[in-house]
Amino acid sequence: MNNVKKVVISIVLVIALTAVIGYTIRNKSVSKPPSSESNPIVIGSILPLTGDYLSVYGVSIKNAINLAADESGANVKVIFEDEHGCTPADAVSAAQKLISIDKVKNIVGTMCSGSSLAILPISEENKVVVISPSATSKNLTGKGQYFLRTIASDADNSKALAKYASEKGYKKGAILVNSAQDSLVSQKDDIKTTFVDLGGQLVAEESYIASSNKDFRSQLTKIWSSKPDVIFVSALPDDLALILKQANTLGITSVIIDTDTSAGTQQLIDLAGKLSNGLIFPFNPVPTNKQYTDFVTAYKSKYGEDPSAYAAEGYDAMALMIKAILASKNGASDDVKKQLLQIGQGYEGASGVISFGSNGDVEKPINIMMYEDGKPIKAE
Amino acid sequence: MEYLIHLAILLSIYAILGISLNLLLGYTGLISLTHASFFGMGAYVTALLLVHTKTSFLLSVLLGVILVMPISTFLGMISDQFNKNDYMLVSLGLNVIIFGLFNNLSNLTNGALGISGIPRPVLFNIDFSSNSNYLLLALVLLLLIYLFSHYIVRTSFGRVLKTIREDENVSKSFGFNTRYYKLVIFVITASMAAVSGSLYASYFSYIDPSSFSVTTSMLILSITIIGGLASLPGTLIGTLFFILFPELLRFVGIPSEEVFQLRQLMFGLIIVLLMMHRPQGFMGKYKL
Amino acid sequence: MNSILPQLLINGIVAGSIYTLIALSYNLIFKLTKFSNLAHGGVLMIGSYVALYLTQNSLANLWISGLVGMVLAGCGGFIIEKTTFLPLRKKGASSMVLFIASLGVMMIIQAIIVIIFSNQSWNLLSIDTISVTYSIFGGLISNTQVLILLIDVIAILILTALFKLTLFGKIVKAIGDDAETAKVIGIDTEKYTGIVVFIASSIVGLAGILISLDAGMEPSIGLGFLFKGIIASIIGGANNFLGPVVGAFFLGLIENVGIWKLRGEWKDVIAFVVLILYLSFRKIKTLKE
Repeated sequence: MNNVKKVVISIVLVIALTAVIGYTIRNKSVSKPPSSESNPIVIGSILPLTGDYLSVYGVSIKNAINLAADESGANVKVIFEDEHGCTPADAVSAAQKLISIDKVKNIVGTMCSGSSLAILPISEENKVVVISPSATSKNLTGKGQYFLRTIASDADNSKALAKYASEKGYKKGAILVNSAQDSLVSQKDDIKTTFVDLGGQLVAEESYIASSNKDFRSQLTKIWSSKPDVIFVSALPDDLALILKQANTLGITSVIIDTDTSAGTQQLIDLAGKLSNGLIFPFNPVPTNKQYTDFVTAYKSKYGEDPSAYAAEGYDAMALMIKAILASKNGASDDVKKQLLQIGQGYEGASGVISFGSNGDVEKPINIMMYEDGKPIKAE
Repeated sequence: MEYLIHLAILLSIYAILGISLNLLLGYTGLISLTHASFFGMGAYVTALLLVHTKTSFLLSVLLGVILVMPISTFLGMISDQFNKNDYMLVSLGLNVIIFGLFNNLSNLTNGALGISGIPRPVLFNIDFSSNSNYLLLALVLLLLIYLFSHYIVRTSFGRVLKTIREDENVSKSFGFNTRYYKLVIFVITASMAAVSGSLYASYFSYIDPSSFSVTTSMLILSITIIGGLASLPGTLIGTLFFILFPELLRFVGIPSEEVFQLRQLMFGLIIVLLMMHRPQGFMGKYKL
Repeated sequence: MNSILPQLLINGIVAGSIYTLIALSYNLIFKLTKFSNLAHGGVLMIGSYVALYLTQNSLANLWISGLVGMVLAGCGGFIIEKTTFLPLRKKGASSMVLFIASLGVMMIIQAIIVIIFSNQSWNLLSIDTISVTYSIFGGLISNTQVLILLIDVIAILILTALFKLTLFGKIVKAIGDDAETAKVIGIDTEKYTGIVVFIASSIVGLAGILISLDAGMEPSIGLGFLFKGIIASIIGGANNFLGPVVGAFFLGLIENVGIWKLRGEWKDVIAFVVLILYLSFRKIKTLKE
């Protein structure tokens, strides 16, 4: 039994060590509610805070949510739960914990469409109001009576981009998509249908799996051999930057259109630099819009870096949630939802003008932007 | 209470997976990293049937098993002729290939978009939308599979498996057709994994390929090894540890960003320490 | 469609050149230690992230960062060998135990890297680096890729010279063939194993650095590259010193040319199908004999 004792002791030591390490590196900037006699408003949040490259966005949305909570001046407590990457099963565990143990009635999250779909049965059954800042799948439309989003569904942006390409006279189009990410696949499907319906010709369609390989050259080579006028890329900023780089070394001169709004954030410029010139992408806030620039400035001064994609939407979601709860009677879910629909009409948020439809979706004015010298301008 | 019920359901689902791998690895000595794929097959069959047709849940479970049996027979035949090292790589390869199929054959599986809206079963006039009822369903299935496994290892069939584990050549020299035994246990355990997949699909109402990747296979492997090879109660403990521990960490107040990585770090450390001092796992009876 | 074949071939060769280093170094260790070492993938990342740390904080230029990365990767692999695998081997642990332990080590390394560096992907070169492309045989290759190929060839030559032409190499081969006899003759197998592990680890660290120069590095892809290296070393023939090199280029080519007809998302599937086909044919061949 000596060996077993050794192992048990080692494990106890390891656990103790972990707890100590964890305690010492604990995040000191957790949102502190201002001292107040009244009960704090408790809001839950489910985001991928760890796990893989998506956690970069998750953490940024978390920061934006905390920023909104601070700025609201209200006594707000946010409980963040991690879903370890876009893991629907973990999102469900997180939702269960938030709803049954922490007794939250409001959640800002999740980031991923799949996870949002997974938690809907629970959140709906418990009448928990959920606002997602970034789940763009059109499958979510109308799926939940208490489910809203501050980001436009993929379908709108994609259709607008396909229309733009068609109006510019680009006849031959190609596609490169990260086929492991549900929102991107959905965008790709919409672009494809609309572009072809408008008379465009799809000359090449390529794909990759983001988590395993960053070498897109052969896919790009195949695409280029058909000499498309435009290449629609459905990728997140880190992959997009690599795609731009690799396309450049392959001598590709097609116009490149990214289908996801995440291309509009500073992160892409940081990663791609001059190679971003000429890149076209959809964006909901007009980048010169005061609400947006104020948000970026506030975020930067608090966290020391630029916000990532979807952070502005997270900021708006939280701000709206708090306003709606304060305006409601006792925070009853039906009333909170009513308030959200009211306040969220023509609401000028950091992520654009928000007007909730009765089904909880937003239709945001879509801006088609283009990068010039690292700055986004309206694409003509 | 709801939260605990949820955790108990998770435990049941992963315990079935752990048991299936334990039969294969702990009792027969075959390291297989493919079981997440069979888990996925069961899940997809149930998901597609329940969403698009009026098939009942239990029937979908049966159909899942029926689908998995010939596939696992075929895969088992390909892989079992390799030595242990190559076998492990081949099983990994199969997992990658099947994951690729789940993700890329989007006309069938909807790819990364996943399948949503999978309903809960209604059986014998009981509605399993309530989690407490679902827990009973899961526990019943777990119990059946546990008892079945318990039975297998006690029979002469189980004894032959253990001799294969110890030394396949000696076993052959005694006249046992080891390929047959290895194939049969592979198919049985693959079917168990499929059953677990069906439970998973209906419970979460949404599935996508990412739940059935190599990472999941490695998780099941870790559960089996840490819990204890050739020990069914050990597998239950291993599952408890792997599922509960991260959930416990939600309550400790460590910033969430670090929690996951610390947990991975700890698991890695525990695995290394166990291998160095107790390679049969906590309650195991067999050293690799 | 003929016009894209040269480009696909170039892409395949560049990919293969990186796989080569992983495959060669993996095989070196495998011959001596006789188990599938997953920690090798972690060591690959050590090389890459050390170089990242140095360049990001402007502590050293690209070349020095790369060199330091290699050395520290070598040290990392060496330490792991001495603290974990050697004691296990002394206890008579089976190759499966070693494999599982290496899985644990890999998890630890990956977790530490993510805690320090987060999950972002990054590239060693700053985005302002001007990329020059050359045209050969109808395809384009960038100066970075040419550099990678050159470094690769140099590394292969040095390794071949070291392990095939020197006494050191002969001793190592002897240990790989029959460690027991080698010990009996008086060869200090542990010492030589340690040296080989150091060299192999720094080579795989170099592979990590080259990956970061080329397409970019992210914590989640380290293990995938290791698997490609393992596949390459198996299909190239583990018994021949240069076998893994052949296997690696073959794999790189078949992955890139293979998606001529298939879509890019099948790349990993192609690699493993090749592995399984190869192993099956090899088995059929040995059964026939």
